[in-house]
Formats: sequence, structure tokens, C-alpha cells
Amino acid sequence: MTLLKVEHVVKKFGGLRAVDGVSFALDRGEFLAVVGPNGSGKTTLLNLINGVYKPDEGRIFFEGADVTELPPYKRARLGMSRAFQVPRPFPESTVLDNVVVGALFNGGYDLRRARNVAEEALRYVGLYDKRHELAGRLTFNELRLLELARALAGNPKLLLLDEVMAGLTPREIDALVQLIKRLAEERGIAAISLVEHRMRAVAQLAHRVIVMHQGKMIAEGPPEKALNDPKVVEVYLGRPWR
Amino acid sequence: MEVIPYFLSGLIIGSVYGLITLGLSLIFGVLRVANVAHGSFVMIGAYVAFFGFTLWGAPPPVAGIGALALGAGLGALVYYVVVKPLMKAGELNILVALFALGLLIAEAARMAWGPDFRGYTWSIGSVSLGVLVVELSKALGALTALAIAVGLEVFLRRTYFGRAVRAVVQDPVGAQVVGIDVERVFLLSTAMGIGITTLGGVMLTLFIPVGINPYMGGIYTLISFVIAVMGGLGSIMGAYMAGLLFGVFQSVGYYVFSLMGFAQPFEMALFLAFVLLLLILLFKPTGLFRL
Amino acid sequence: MKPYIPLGIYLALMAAAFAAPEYSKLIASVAFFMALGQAVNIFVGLTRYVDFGYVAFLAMGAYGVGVVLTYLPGLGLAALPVGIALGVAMAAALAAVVGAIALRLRGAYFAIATIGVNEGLKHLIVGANIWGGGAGLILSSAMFREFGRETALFLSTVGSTALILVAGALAVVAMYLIQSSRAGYALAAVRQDEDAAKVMGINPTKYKLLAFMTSASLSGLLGASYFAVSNMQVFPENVFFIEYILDGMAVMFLGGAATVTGPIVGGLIYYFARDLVGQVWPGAQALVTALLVFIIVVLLPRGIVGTLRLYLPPKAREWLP
Repeated sequence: MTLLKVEHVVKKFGGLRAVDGVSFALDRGEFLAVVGPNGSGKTTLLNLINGVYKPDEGRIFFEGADVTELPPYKRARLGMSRAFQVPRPFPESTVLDNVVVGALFNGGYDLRRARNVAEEALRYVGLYDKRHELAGRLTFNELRLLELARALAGNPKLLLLDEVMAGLTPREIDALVQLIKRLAEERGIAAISLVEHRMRAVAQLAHRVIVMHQGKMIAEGPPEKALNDPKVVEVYLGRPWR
Repeated sequence: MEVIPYFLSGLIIGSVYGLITLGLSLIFGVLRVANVAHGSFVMIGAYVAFFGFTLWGAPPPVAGIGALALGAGLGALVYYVVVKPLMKAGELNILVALFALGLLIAEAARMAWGPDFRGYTWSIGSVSLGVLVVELSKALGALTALAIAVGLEVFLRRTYFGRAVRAVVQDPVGAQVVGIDVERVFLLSTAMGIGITTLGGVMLTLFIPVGINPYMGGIYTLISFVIAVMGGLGSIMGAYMAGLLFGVFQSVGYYVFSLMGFAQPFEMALFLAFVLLLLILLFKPTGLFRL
Repeated sequence: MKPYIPLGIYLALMAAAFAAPEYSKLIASVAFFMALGQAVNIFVGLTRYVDFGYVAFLAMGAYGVGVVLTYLPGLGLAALPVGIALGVAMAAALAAVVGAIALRLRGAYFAIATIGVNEGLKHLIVGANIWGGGAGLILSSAMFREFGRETALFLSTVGSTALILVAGALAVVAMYLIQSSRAGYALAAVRQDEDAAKVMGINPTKYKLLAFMTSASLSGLLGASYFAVSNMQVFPENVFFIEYILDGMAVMFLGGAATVTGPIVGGLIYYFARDLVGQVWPGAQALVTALLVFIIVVLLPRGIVGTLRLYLPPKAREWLP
């Protein structure tokens, strides 16, 4: 069942077409990687889906309903959860409390359920043992996981991940990707993850890949096909991935 | 119309109100700090004028120069002791620390100079404007205020340092990137701001013959904030023009309220000033003037 | 969090006031600072916004009782609860009005807006000569008349002490209720990172207003008890005395902002420090207070209890909220 449908969206900033006619569909439980260098329009695309920007042209559908006009917090309540590239935890609150906030206000749970949901989310990402620590004391990787746990606790149907792999060691990246896939397979949570061009090896693990360049989608499909597409190779002048 | 003399005298005191507010606006614009101890520096200036005159026979213009220097020194001190250490700790800490500082200064003044109301008169004659007789001392004060406001504005627009200040106001990080020593800008702005405020306190004494006392600062903090918000926090000419406006408002308001039979028209005018502040913050927080 | 220790302290003090009435004034003075710190804490501690016009809420409480006793004769003993209710309602209403306007503004602008509240109200009362104007209201004869001499005297000593302690205890309960509800989480989020909180679906103004009005109401009760009932008079110069917000913040910062036990510890230390200063260097209390607040804010921003809590294991932290 199609969860998200992006139809020919265009976003202009002055004369610059940051996103120039992108269309794709995403099913429940699909893990999509959006690959491209800085300036290719990935983050703008994410912002359009999230509602931070409104498209100049095109429409966005979530679970069949047209959400193009909805503000971010309403889309959050419909089931979109966003994890930011630079984690913004509440440093003086405990790890658990940080996640409870997400459950309470993003997920709309009542207080008791929110605590359970939060604990479960922490278990899922592997931070449960640190739940009473003050968030300000976590390592960078742990903060990433906290961000993810908070997004999870918000009861999402779609996870929007903004370059969450940046700054992690290869092992940490691997663990994170496995986690996202587990969420997709076990909970049917779809995920769109932005992947910086230099880390396109990560995209191998996704179900599908979209490659962006200067606002346009230049390749789409399963990882081996999309990343080795001649157009992609031509644009990046890199060796074929394999 | 009988209100004209009130209008004119309002302009005259308004000019000095504007002067008093310049420093507040400057400090907020550059450091984004609301100096809630502002009035205590006005008070210090007032006492400088008083002691200068009664102890050494110095006329207010001379005392003004001394006050400017003293205020600048105090400003530097305040910057190093309060502002700089607390800028990272959060707004609450700075506001509370400054508030405490203001009360501290007032109490110290009370203990040093006693709680009584003081005053002096410096009379250099008067001139008649037809409907109103204006004392030259007051006119001098008003003109000095105007000169300083204009001077400061010119300084900010034409000199290198002035442009550095404006750069910091717009974008502190960007200013650093282009090589501006932001720390120095902060220090000098604070010193200038408090210096001008103290000078303003001296000019103010020309209008309050018996009103100098340790606790006088509080009311001028309030008035200055009203004026600063009206003129747009951070805008120099805006603060000055708003000062004129406020002076007129207070003067004419006084006239109107006494006609209406209020026993304390001055107090009523002040209450109205506060309501005005709330309204402006609500509807036009960027100020009435865009200068 | 477990509020039993702070509540227990207030109950103990209340028992002491009844058992030893000759100490009730002393207890009232200490308790006033504790309760004031507690009430201020509910707003300033939870939101990290500062209201410089805060004293106006104490004043509203005092005037509530004063107005009922002066202008509504014949209510007998009922005048007390009615007056207190009116005072609390006026304080809450003032907070609602000021809050609705000013809480949308960010920190410094909010502080500026509130600077005028205290002065503005005082000037209104004095300037328009309402509620006794500058001369204030003297309540002793009205209290004797309505309550009877015995009761009036009892109220002004032990009774008002009990009321002040009740205010403190209610503040602890309010803190407890807020911290263990959604509002507690929302406020924690808002005060740490207002923008992130908004993105997560929290409406900051709503929760700030809740904290503000709760804090104001408690101060209304406190003002009613301390000025009107205990001193039997309401003078604008007293009730609008800007010092009190400094006292409140001193107690709060000394003990620990956003903690519940903090103001109790802070209140105790603060009262006796002031007392000591009063003996050694009379007239310098305000100076020392200002200096103390200044030093604490700069050097020990978490306060005594606040810093202590950092080093406690999570379980122990629960008992010293």
C-alpha cells in the first residue's frame, strides 16, 4: 500500500530550482535512500515532505490524503517523524525523559503509555541501560540513537532521516542501518534516509535508491541498478560501484 | 490652544529622555542584553551633577564630561564582571544579575549619601517663546541631548568603528568571520552606552530641581524601556524620536489628567505609559519608527 | 518525585506554630521567604523567564482581603475566605492578562514588559486614588469588628502563620502535580530548547501561562496572609515593594531553581542571614541581598540543593525533589 506519494514537486529559491520536478512513491516498510552531493536538493526534498517548505508546484500525498498544505506539526501527528542531522536533545533531562517528550507530544500517548513506549524505543535502539543518564553526557553516536529513539516513540509510519550516518564509524553505521531495516520489516515503518554522495556505499543496504543531482532525479531503482546507472557515473566521474 | 506650552515643554524634556535611552538601545542592539539596571546609572549621573555643583561649583556641562568618563569606566567594569561571564549562562542569569546590580547600586548610594531628596538650581536666565518661558539651562540640556544623539548616529554610520558596531548588530558570527574583534565592540559599546546614560543623568537634573535620591533609577528604567521599545530596540535615532514623543505624551497627558480631576496626574500618566508599552510589545514589537 | 520531605517540613512548622504561639511570628517570617521562593520557583524555575513585576501578585492578594474588609462590611468571619478568594482571583486574573500578552515574547522582551507591571499598578492605585490610594487601607478595626477581638488577634498571629505555611505546602503540591504531568515534560522541553519543543508539537505559550498563573495565585494567597491578615494593613509602598521579587529569587537561587526542596533550604538560610546582617550592619540588608543574589547567579547558578542533587543517585534524587 502506497504510504507516500510525491508528485512532480518543485521548490524555487529566487532563481534557483532546488528541487526540480521530483516524483516517486514509497510503500509501507520500504527503506529508501536518497543519494547526492551537497546542493543536489536532498534536504530540500526532505523539508518538503516534512512540511517545513511548501512546494511551488506539485503535490504530496500521505496515506492517500493530500498533505501539501499541512504544517509540520500536523504532519507529525499523522505519522511523520523526523530525526535531525545535528541532534538536539534536552541536555538537562534524562535519556528516558527526552524520549517520553516525543511519545507524549508527537505520538499523542497519555503519560503512562508514553513511558512504556519510550522504554521500548530505548530498548530497540540499545540505549535502555542509559535511560537515567542526563542526555548532555552522551557520546555523539548515542545522541544519534537518542534522536532515533525519540522519533520512534512518536509512533511514526514514516521516518525522515537527515544524514544521520554522518560522523559515525563504519561499525556504527552498519548497526544503524540494520536497525532501520528491522523497523521496516518488523513494524512496517518506512524510512527515507538522506545519504551524502561520498557515503553512497551505505545505500547498498536500502531497498531502493534515488540519486539526485541539481534538483533533479537522475536515477531510481534497486541499489545496484541506480548507483551504476551510466548517468550517475557520468555525473560523478567515479568508478562504478561494486 | 492652551496645550501648546505643554507640548513644547514636553519636547524639551523629551529630548533628554531620548538621551537617557540611547545607551539602553545601543547595548541591547549590540549585545542583545536588556540592561535592567539602566536607571541606576542615570541616578549616578544625577549625583555627579549634584556633588559637582554643590562641592566644586562645577556647572552641569562640566559635570557632564566627568559623568561621561565615569560612566564609561563603570560600563567597562560591568562588562567584565557581569556581562562577559554570563553571556553563555543564559538570559535568566544575566537579567537577574543586572537587576541585582541595579538594586545594589541604589542601596550603596543610600548608605553613602542618605535617603533624602537632594537638588540644586543652576540658573542662567530664560528666554520667552511667546506662549512659554523656557529656562536656558533646560534648553541647553535639550540641545546637548540632540547633539549627542546626532553625533552618535553619525559615529555609527561614518566611522570604521561605527560600522563594526553595526555589523555586530546585524550578525555577530558573520562579523567575526570578516575579522571584526567582536569582543572589543561589545566592551566599547557597553562603555559608551553607560557613559551616555550617566551623562543623561546629569542633563536630567536640570529638570528635576529637588528629585535626586538613591531610588530614582527605577522609574527611569521603566521610562527608558518604554521609549526604547517605541523607537525600536537598537535604533539610535529611533530612541531619540521616541523620547521626544514620550516627553510630549507625558506633558500633555499631565495636562489632560489634571483637567480630568485626578489627584495625581503624574502617576496616571506613568500608568498610561506602561499600558502603552504593553500595547506596543503586543502589536509592534519592532517599534514605531524604522530608523 | 516524592514530595514527602518538603511537605513534612511544612507540617512540622505548622505544628510548631500552634504548639508555641510565641514563636509564630518568627515562623511566619521564615515561612514567608520559603513560600515566596516556592511560588516564584513555579514560574521562574520551570520556565526560566523572569518577571520583575512579580510583587504585584502579592499586592493583589493583599488588596483582595483589604477590599472585602473595607468595602463589604457585615460578612463576619466569612470575610476572610471571601477576601482571600478575591485576592487569589485578582492575582490570577492579572497573570492571565499580562501573560496572554507578554508570554508570547522571548525572555528579555518579557522581562521588559513585566518591569512596568509592578510600577504601573502602583501608580494606578495611587494616581486614581482607588482602594485607599497612597494612604492604603488599615484593617485592624474592620477585623476586630467582623471577627471579634479574640479571633482577629489569633488570626493575625498563629492563623496567618498557618496560612503562610499552607501557601508553601500548596506550592509543593502544585509543583508535584505539574512535574508529574504532561505539563512538566512540556515545560522542561520549553525551558531547555523552545524551538525544538515547538517542532515536537508543544505549544509553549500554553504551558508558560499555566505556570505563570499558578505561581501568581499562590503569591496572591501569600500576600493576603502576610500583609493583610498578619499586619492588618495594606499600604502601596509595602505591598508593591520591589524588593520582594529579589527576596524570592534569592531564596530560589540559593536553594536551587526548579527544585522543590530548594526554597525551603534557601528560605531558612536567607532569613537567618538577613537577621544576622540586621544585627551586625543594620540598614544594609537590601544591599547584602542584592550582593548575595548577584554572587549566586554568577558562581553557583544551581543553588545548594540543585548542585547536591547532581551528585545523588537517581533513587535518592526522587526523595529530594
